[in-house]
Amino acid sequence: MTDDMEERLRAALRGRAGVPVAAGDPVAAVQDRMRRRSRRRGLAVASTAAVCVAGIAVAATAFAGNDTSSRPIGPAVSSSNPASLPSLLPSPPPSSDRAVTSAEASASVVSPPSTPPSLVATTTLPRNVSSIALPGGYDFYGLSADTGQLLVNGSSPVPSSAVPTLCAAVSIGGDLPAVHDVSMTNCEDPASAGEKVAAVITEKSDAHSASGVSGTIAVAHHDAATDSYTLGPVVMKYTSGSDSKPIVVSGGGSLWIYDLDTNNGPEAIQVSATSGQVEDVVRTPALSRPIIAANGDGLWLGNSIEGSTVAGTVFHVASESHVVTTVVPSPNDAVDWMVADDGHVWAGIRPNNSALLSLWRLDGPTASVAFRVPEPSLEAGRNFVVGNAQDGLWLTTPDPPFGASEAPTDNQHLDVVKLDADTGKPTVEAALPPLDTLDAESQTADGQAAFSQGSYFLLQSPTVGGYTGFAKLLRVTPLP
Amino acid sequence: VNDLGGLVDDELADFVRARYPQLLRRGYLLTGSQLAAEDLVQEALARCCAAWRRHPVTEPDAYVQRVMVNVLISRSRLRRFREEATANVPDAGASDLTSQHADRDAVWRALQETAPRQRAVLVLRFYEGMTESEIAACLDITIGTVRSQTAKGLAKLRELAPTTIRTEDPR
Repeated sequence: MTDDMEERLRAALRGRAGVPVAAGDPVAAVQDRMRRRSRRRGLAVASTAAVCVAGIAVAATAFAGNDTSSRPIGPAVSSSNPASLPSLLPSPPPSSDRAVTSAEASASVVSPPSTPPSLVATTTLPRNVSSIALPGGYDFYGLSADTGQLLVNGSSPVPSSAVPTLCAAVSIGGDLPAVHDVSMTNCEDPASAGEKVAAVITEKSDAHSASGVSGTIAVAHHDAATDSYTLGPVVMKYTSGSDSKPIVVSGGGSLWIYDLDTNNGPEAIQVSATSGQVEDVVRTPALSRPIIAANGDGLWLGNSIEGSTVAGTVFHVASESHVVTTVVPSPNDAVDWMVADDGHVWAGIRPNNSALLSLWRLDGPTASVAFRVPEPSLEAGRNFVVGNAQDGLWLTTPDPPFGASEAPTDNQHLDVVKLDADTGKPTVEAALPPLDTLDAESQTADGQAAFSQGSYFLLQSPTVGGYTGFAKLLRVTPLP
Repeated sequence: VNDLGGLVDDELADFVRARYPQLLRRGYLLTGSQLAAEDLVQEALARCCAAWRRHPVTEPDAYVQRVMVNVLISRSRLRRFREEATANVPDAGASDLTSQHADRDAVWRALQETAPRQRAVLVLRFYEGMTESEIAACLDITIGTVRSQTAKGLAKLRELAPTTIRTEDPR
């Protein structure tokens, strides 16, 4: 017996298709969106709860690049449900990858601010960069390296209850710029990332919500006695909207959860990263899509370009203090990115909504300004920066910068830039080959990069076909 | 102003105005909410306009559709939320207008529980009336994937929105 689901679906779709009504001038709306994109140049959705763990099959491959010894390694190993998985063997790396000359590599070091980066990218990878083609047939969307193990988060385009999402756990080999293998694991398990505590976000359709979607956040905690995770009570309820998504960051032994539109208004919750217990609940300024970071000094909230009307640029919440302090009060500045490490916070800040980026370092719980330097060689706009006090800060930036015009130029490409943690001095570590999708990929989206085991890792899209997700992982080894 | 403030040319501005209502309907069917649909369509158009300045697109409608689906999938993955099964599926009663409305609502809510790519295939197939090959070309997937996604999507809808009634044969 067959049902009439196809007709029922057609009826449901026809019945709903008349619901949305376009309000205002769509051209103006798109124009506004393009201007916002030109400022942030990254995905607007900030990183949310990261939950991942081990389990399934293993495929193996190696980085290409100038490492001529790189080769696919090892067959598939084991699987809890191998029959449910398609082949995970990777596609071969691009054959055009080759080393550039030493002159090209040595030309990459520049001094700010008088000498902006000016490398001419080639269609090949610099010698300190290697690449790996990720296994085909999956959607890869982010990197994490919180526990030293590099994970490429992704999922199968065909959802399965047995394999809800997948992570490619990447191991990195010795001194060579190579990856030894990629093992596919189950992202739904927090243990894959070694997390003892994870925020579990649940969203559902809600006709009573203004946006049509509401959500709850609970905290899952690892129980060592049973080696299992226990989901605790809901700690936050929120309404999901395009400008209000919960953001979760870890740092300083705490997990911080922020949302603009909770049932209690704008709110940040501090959760112990070891016990899972709520340690603080703080009412915060109403920041739309803020840039946030955490370290041992507490939570740092940056007012982004995304339309918040709150005066002030950087706010600080000391651990368990219940108090928000304005540490950078400038009313018209915008934070593009922030990185927190023990005792330090680095921030890319645009004064008065300009196209010029300034790099700040704030030290200690009082946020004393260690330096504030202009960075004219770096494109202003939202970016995802990774690193720490020892390894420096790593990011990508278009070269030459788009500037105010946003018009792409011939041979425009991405530079991988390292910022000195103590001075802010930028050094171009690698000039990547031009991408057809530079508009979409210029600068780095949340989760697109990670710094692990002495190298910078970056996910990239294919060079053709538009925005289709990440298919390649680059490793950039610091120049000597 | 007919040129997106100089960001794109008149032709693209005309395209945005002409196709926006239809794109918004698609966005609504894909996301289930007006705000999310506006966000999705505007983001997709912004990305497309930026890309078109570099590479002329011969089939802009299909291009936008593909970008919308990619953005939808990308965002759902980044958000890493776990969807809940829809609760309180209305009981199917007599075959009258009330029950028809309830049934459409149940199917609609079940549709929101499907995976983004699966949902896109179902919308393109059963709302847009596209062929399998057209969907495959639009989403850059194989016809086999279109078929499997359609079958799996319909199976999920049957699971989440079962019916106990049979509509009367209009003949």
